[in-house]
Amino acid sequence: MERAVRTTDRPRDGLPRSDLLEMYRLMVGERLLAEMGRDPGLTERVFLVGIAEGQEAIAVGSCMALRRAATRAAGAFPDIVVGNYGRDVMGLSYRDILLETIGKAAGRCGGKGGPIHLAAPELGLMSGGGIVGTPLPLAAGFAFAVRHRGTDQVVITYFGDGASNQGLFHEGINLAAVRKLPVIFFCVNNLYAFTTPMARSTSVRQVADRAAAYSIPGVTVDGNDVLAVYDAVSQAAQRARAGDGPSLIEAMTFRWIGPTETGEEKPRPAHEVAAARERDPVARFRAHLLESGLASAADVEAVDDGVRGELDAAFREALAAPWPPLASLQDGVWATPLETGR
Amino acid sequence: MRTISFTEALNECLEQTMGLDPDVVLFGESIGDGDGIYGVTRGLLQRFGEGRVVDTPISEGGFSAMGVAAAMAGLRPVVEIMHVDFLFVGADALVNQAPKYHYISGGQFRVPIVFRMAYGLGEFPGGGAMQFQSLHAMFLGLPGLKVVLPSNPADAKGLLHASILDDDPVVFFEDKKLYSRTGPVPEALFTVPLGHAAVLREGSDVTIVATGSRVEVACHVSDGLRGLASVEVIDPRTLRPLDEAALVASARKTGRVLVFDEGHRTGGFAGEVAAVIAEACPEALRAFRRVMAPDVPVPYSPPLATAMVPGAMDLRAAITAVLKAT
Repeated sequence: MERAVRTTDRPRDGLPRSDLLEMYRLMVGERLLAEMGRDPGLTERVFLVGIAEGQEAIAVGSCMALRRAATRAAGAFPDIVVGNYGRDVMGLSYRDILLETIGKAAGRCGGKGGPIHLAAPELGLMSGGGIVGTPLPLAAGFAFAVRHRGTDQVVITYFGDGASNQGLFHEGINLAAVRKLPVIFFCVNNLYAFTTPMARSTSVRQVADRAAAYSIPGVTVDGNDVLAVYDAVSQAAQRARAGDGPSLIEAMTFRWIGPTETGEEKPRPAHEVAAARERDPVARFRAHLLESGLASAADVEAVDDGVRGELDAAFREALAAPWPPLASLQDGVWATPLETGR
Repeated sequence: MRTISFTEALNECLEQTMGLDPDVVLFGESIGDGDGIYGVTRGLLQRFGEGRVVDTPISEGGFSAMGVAAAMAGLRPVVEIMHVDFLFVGADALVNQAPKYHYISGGQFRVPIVFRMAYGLGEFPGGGAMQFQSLHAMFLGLPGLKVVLPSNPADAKGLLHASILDDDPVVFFEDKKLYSRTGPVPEALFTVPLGHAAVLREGSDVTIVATGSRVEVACHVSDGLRGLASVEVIDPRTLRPLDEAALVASARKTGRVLVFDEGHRTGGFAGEVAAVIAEACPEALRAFRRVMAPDVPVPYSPPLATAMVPGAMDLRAAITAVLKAT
């Protein structure tokens, strides 16, 4: 399914070479995580949710445009991510991602959250909930708290084209728009709601067209172009931080392998997968770095090898780590302990 | 002690709590200029401003989730859902989100949010099948969620304050028939701790476990039977945490237990009370009855709707019946 896509102007400058190489490293990391997670030799199933072959430009391009824990000024809080994307980019280690994704005791959530609820609040990483439309009103709530506290953080939330047909999409965007809350609504349009093609589920040609219903900016970008994604989010973040309210960004992309990452569900049509592979976001960015002279073949290979080594170690460690003790099953249901009677 | 209404007690609690803690914020439909449908938020917009008293769009799903996230970020939102019936258009936040995050985040998040909502039969004309329901028992099956039903103005103030201070999500049910009821309420802020039943009448023949506006009716019935039967009246005040020890102690004493509650008979609060007692002291239990609403949707016609609410006559009949059990 080919669609007309507006590609924003690429940032010509302002992005140092080190950032570009960091983006490349993170994209390679996501590609390898997805591939290694499906290795049939693994003893555990590694269900990565937001990390999938073909979608590497999404989290990397968008979160690199945010204020991250690693790069923030002293005293500033990192921006807030609501949803299943960007854990790696916002600073969570591969080891921590894998520990919780597999469900191990040392995971950030003690194995009780799993990949969908993986949270690390100090890095700005909030859970987006297990219902596809819920991240939108949750993002409005985090943005409300940002406004209440008077910090200048921006909240970004990720959801799919499928979620844009849930009522919570409408309620969440309207709430943020009516109060001009600092939210970036980021639609990862991979053209399928689980296995239902967009054309059979969605009345508009582009999800970004729905922005008009809320009088907020809506833009569709090439979601396989990491710099186009970066640029769109930079503009939306600037707008949100300035107090001008939310934006809707729709990034067109494609999952080479379906949403459960195991191929259990009906596979995507082969010609669509082949076309998507032609637009491989990782290969495209690698070519851009090489052609523009920003990186040499040796630089790129060093990055590839470095990430692979890091991931090998992370997988080994996460797989070997202990499961949660069964005694922990009943721990943590209540924040205020239940006390009854006198 | 001065006497104020249930509505005024809730309003005073919100005003005093908001005065103490700037992180207490209110979300709801027409709670600002509109004072809230039952007047509970009267004057709060004028005192605390739009940043803390948020008149939301009619988006129960949206603003409930917004409240959950604000709570995860450290605020203490109090969300008003006009009627429990309306919650179900956007129950995701209350059912799927709020009760889970402390547990599934390994304690990284707390969700100190209160969902206030009216339930039960209110004034006519109005109501009907989708505005007059009593669905509080449905929320008992959600670990991580506390369920509170005050029965008088003083408890309304003290339980609401305790609910706002609590670090877990609380669903706070206000029986519509109580809003205009008056009673003595301390002026200073205080808490009624969650999980502590009140024994309002002591007795040795029958135990009535009553909730909401049924508590006062039960007390009148107990008083009217003085000399004929010794009727104990217990108000659990919170259905979760449930003061099981108080229920079991009373059941051991009387052996006859009635649950007097406006919810439907089937799948309701009485089932939980029966289970608690049956597990703790099956040998003591001689009789058990539900004095509850029949299993029908709430009809519109006032005489029909009124007939749904279990009243004093139903309670007296049940007491007479269980006293025959030896």
